[in-house]
Amino acid sequence: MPNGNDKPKVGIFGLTGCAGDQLQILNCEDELVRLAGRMDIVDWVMARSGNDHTCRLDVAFVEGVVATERDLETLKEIRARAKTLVALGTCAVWGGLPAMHNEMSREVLQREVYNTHVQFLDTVEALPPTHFVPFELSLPGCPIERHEFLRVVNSVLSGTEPDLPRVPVCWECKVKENTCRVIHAQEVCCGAMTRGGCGARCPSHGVACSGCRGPVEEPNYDANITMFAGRGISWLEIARRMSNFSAPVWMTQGLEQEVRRESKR
Amino acid sequence: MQTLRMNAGLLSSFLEALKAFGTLVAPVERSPGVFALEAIDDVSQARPEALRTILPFKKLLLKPRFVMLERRQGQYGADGADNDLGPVVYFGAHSCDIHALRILDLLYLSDYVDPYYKRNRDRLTVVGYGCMPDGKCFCQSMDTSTIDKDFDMFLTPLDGRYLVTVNSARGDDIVRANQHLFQPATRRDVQEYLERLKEREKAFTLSLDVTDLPYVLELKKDDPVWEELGKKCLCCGSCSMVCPTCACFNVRDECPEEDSAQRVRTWDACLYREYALVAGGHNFRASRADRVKNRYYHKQEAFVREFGMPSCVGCGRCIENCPTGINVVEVFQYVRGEA
Ligand code: SF4
Ligand code: SF4
Ligand code: SF4
Ligand code: SF4
Repeated sequence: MPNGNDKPKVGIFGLTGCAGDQLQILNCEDELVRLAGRMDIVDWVMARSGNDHTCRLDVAFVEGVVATERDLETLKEIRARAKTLVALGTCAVWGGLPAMHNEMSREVLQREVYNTHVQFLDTVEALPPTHFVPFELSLPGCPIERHEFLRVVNSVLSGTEPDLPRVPVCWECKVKENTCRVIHAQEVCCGAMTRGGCGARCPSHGVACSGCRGPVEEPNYDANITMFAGRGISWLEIARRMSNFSAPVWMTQGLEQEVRRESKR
Repeated sequence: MQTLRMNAGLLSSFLEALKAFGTLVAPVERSPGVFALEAIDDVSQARPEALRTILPFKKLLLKPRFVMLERRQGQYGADGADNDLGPVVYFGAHSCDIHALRILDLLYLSDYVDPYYKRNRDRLTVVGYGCMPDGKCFCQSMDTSTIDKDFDMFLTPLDGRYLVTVNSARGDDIVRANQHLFQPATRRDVQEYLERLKEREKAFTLSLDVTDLPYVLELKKDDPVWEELGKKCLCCGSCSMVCPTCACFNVRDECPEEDSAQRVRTWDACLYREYALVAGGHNFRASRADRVKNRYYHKQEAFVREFGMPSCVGCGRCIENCPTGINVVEVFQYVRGEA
């Protein structure tokens, strides 16, 4: 990575999403000031004016999902400009909340939300940017954790690859010695399937993990679902608790069929 | 070894006195029936009779995550003493815990001495406390249900008093500094102690058949039981995290800030997917079944081959903390075709 006068050029972009991850970056106030001395943020519509929308970028961060044709165009442009592309947040990595209801057709959604006369929508099924173009790095979280973002940026600026822990939330939950929501409260806790990094925030406050950070590599959905059911929790409740942030990823794993089967009974 | 007695009413004075020897750490009740080892100021919080804390004492020697080396601009990496916990008095160690401590000593202090472990270990005072087993304890089967060394003091509760065993120079120091708390043990104390031992022997309900276990495991290497367990296990790693003898760790370099780098050491477990992942992307235990199997084989086969004893002390923590109810005793019954 070049340094000195030749500071790396950085762009930060939001597709369709809540801008929460970009807000997290802005929340890194003090660190951001220091980082500004080491990199040139040349394209960040949310935070500055006079952006350069065409230059080559050493690092680009992309937040949100592809939910319109326009998003896809933007994404491809960013990819073409960037040396290192980083997916920011669960939406960009996995689809997250916007992809929760992909099973409903766009026509139905458009009719229900806007009525049929609306012309300007070019909405498509919401999918994560990682589905369309290759990314060098991904940083899940809803929103991202500031300390993880800073570690990624500092590693990239130092010319090394960031090595974030890939263990499940249970690791951090055990470190904090929380009362386990599954064992002691018979709740649907997604901690064993979800990638840690949040410090087991929810279980530490007595709330089951809802999987906002997306899955660990090779989560054992079947075993989790069977475990919840074995603790007397209904399939519908399991589905309800699991159909949030990471629903697009784990709903594909058979739970969907079980739910249909149960609601027919 | 010296055997004394202490009146039950003097326990809090004793705990106050222990504070002079380091940070007093004891089990406290986090929520009903859930205990954790914590540094305490108010000694009435101590619940030494609690059978198991979520995390065992190993956290008093190696923090789950600590900075080994820290490098600031223009300097060489240096030990920032992040894992330096100072002198600690661990009150409420049970026999299984003390056996586990010996196993950790074997791992960390024999061939290559781990300086991070040693620094805390040298300043750890162990004050044991006699327990009564519940349905998850199987230390009796593991030959770890009694202990006669590797502690400084040990309190066994008797009717209205404690039998106090002193077993180290540091233990002697504690007694010498607090003569007024102790009296010589009487024959009646010893008699009652022996009766309690017998009662305790009978209180065990769980047992693990360890006859020829390493050989049985050798024979069962390709048994379908491991595939089945692999289907059931969440690979959440809880069993390893809470195990007093699981000692694996990971080391990674981090750049938390400009011009600063940290070498960070964290507890790790063979249940995790990236544990056996090596450069080039090869994973020696890519399947879940292989990972679960490894935990049992390491404890009951590989460790026995290397150190002549298993590295499970029968504390029951993994049984208590597995969300999906995988139970080490049942696993081995199953392996033997008994369940
Ligand atoms: S509460 Fe959830 S995250 Fe914590 S140990 Fe239990 S299953 Fe894992
Ligand atoms: S394997 Fe289980 S019972 Fe054995 S020492 Fe570890 S936590 Fe305790
Ligand atoms: S290899 Fe697995 S079972 Fe053995 S000490 Fe490490 S984490 Fe524990
Ligand atoms: S606690 Fe249970 S589910 Fe979690 S890794 Fe251990 S055996 Fe598997």
